[in-house]
Order: sequence, then structure tokens, then C-alpha cells
Amino acid sequence: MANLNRPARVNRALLAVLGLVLLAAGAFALVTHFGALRVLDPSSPVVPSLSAPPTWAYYAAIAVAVVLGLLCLRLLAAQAFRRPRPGTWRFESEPERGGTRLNGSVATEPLAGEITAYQGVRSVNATLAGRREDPTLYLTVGTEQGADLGELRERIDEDAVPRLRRALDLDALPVVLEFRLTTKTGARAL
Amino acid sequence: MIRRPRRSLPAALVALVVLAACVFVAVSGVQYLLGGRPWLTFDTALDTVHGMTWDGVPVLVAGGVAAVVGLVLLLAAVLPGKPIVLPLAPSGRDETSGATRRSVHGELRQTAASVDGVSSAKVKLRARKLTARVRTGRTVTEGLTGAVSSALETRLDQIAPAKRPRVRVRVKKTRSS
Repeated sequence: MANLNRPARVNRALLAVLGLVLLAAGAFALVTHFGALRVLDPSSPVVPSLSAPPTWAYYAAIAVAVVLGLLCLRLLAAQAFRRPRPGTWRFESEPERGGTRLNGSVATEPLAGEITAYQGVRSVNATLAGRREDPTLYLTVGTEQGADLGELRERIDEDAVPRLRRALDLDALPVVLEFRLTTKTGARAL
Repeated sequence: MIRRPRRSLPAALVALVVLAACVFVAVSGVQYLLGGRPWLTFDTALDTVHGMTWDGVPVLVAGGVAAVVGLVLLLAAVLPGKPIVLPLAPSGRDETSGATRRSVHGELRQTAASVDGVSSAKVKLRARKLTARVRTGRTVTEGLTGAVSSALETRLDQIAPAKRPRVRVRVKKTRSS
């Protein structure tokens, strides 16, 4: 199944590793400071006297800083991409005679249009995530005030999605639905 | 479907701090190699830490700060946080649903506020309990509690959260009789 909460996993892993390293280093400094742990003599200097580093060390330091800095930029950029990654699917029954490529966002457009027309729906955002073998349809539905979610879910599951599933020739298409209830009343509401 | 916070803020802060350190180191190194005056030379860095021993105050401060920051980052990673998306009751079909907690909260507040006789409403949505505090300008408040709670129950029926909270209503009069 595609990751539906994209940067969360990488954020948690990085924060946990960094937190553990910092906590361990800080704890080590503190116990050595108070002499509770005698790995290092508390009265010994923290940094032994060093001679000036050779020139290659500067190149190495710059290279490490640049790579680490680019990774930080990548992590920052990842925070902006929150929806699951839409895939491009290939249909190739006879690869030697060519194949068809289908962009996930093109495939979901009619579905989004259909669901938007339902009573009580204000906005729909559909993403077809994952590979063709294990796809997931990720739907964000904004509803008007007073919309009956049970009824909407039933219509989406039993009318809209099976149509897309048949069109894409899939055996199963799991759906993840996320509702945003707005307090706005629709133009169609009486 | 339940969705938890993404920890974007702590991750972005960490990335910014590390990025700043990287820029500082890289610029200093390039300045040195080009023969300019670096922001940070090796000698000044060595002078700062020279003569520092493990039982000195700077080690105490730095170690304490590192341990606290590390603990905060670890907690940010481990604690699940308030859910962003509340799961809805399973439908039995090939579908999982959720509704954003904030929008459910706003919807329930609106539901309570639009009951006849209610002048303003505040709701608190917890995992097991939904508390609505409503104010009314009426002098006779009999039946208002029931009206608000039945409106909320009806709306909860329509939303159908996986864990249905118990509804409690408190009425406050703005006018004394």
C-alpha cells in the first residue's frame, strides 16, 4: 500500500535517530563531568592539542558539508509534498508491439467530476497511488454542512469507484477516503 | 483510517539548523582555500576548546543542552500526538474512511449553535467524550439540553465515527430570570 502520510515516516525516523544520538552524547558528557563514569578522567582536556590539518581535510570538510546541506534541502522540500505519489501505469499485453501509459491523475478526473456532482459535496481531490498490482485510490472529499457521510460513502463505494475499477480493468481497488466537513452551506441546499 | 501529525515542524527546524551549520563550514573552508579571511579558522576553533576539561562548566552546559534537545526530538518522534484524521466506522466494503478532527469539531460546534434558542456554543471533542457548552438568552431553559444533545447525536449518526463519544451538554443562561 502506498504511503498516505508522506513525510511522516522519514521525519519520525530522522528525529528519533538524531534525538538518540544527541541524548547519548549529552548524557555521556554529563556523567563524565560529574565523574560518575570513569571512562575518561574528568580533569583531562576535552580536545587534545592538534596540529593544523592538511589541505585535503578542508576539501573533505567542504564536500561533507555540501552533501549534508543538500540532504537538508531535500528534507525541507519533502515537507511540501504530502499527497501520495501518483504513479504512471503501463499496460503492455504484447510488449514487442508497444504499450499504453496512463497517468494516474488523468484516470481519476472523471471520478472526481462525478463525485463533485453528488449532493452535499463541495470539492474532491483524487489520487491513484501505488503500482498497478496494488493500487490505492486516495480521495479527499470536502462536504457541505449537514452532508450525510454514510450515504456519500455508499454512493462513492458502490457507484463511482466500481466504474473506475472496471475502466482500469482492476480486480480490486482499495479506497481511502478523507472527509473535510465544511460549515458552508451549498448553493443547492434549500 | 487514522492519521497522525507528520512532525513537519521539528523536522524542518532540524533541517534548517543543520543546513546553517553546513553552509558555515563550507564557506569557511572555501575562504581558507582561496586565501581569504575565513569566518572560522582552525586556530580560533582550537583556541576556544583548548584548555577545556571534562569537569569544566562549558561541558556541563553543552551536555545538558544536548541531552534536553535530544530528549525533545526523541519525544517528537515517539509520541503519537493528537490525530489529524479521526477514523470513521468500517463500512464492510473495500474502503477505509476518516474525517479531519478539526472539521468534525467545527461541524459539531455549528450543529450545537444552530439549535433554536442557542446563542453561542463551544464544544470539546475528546476521544470518548463530547462536551458542548451552550449559552442561551432564554429564561426558561427546560428541554434545551435535550434538544442540543439530540441534534449532536443525529449529526454523530451521520458522521459515524469509529469510536462514538458520549455527549454531554451544559447550558448557561445569559439572562437571569
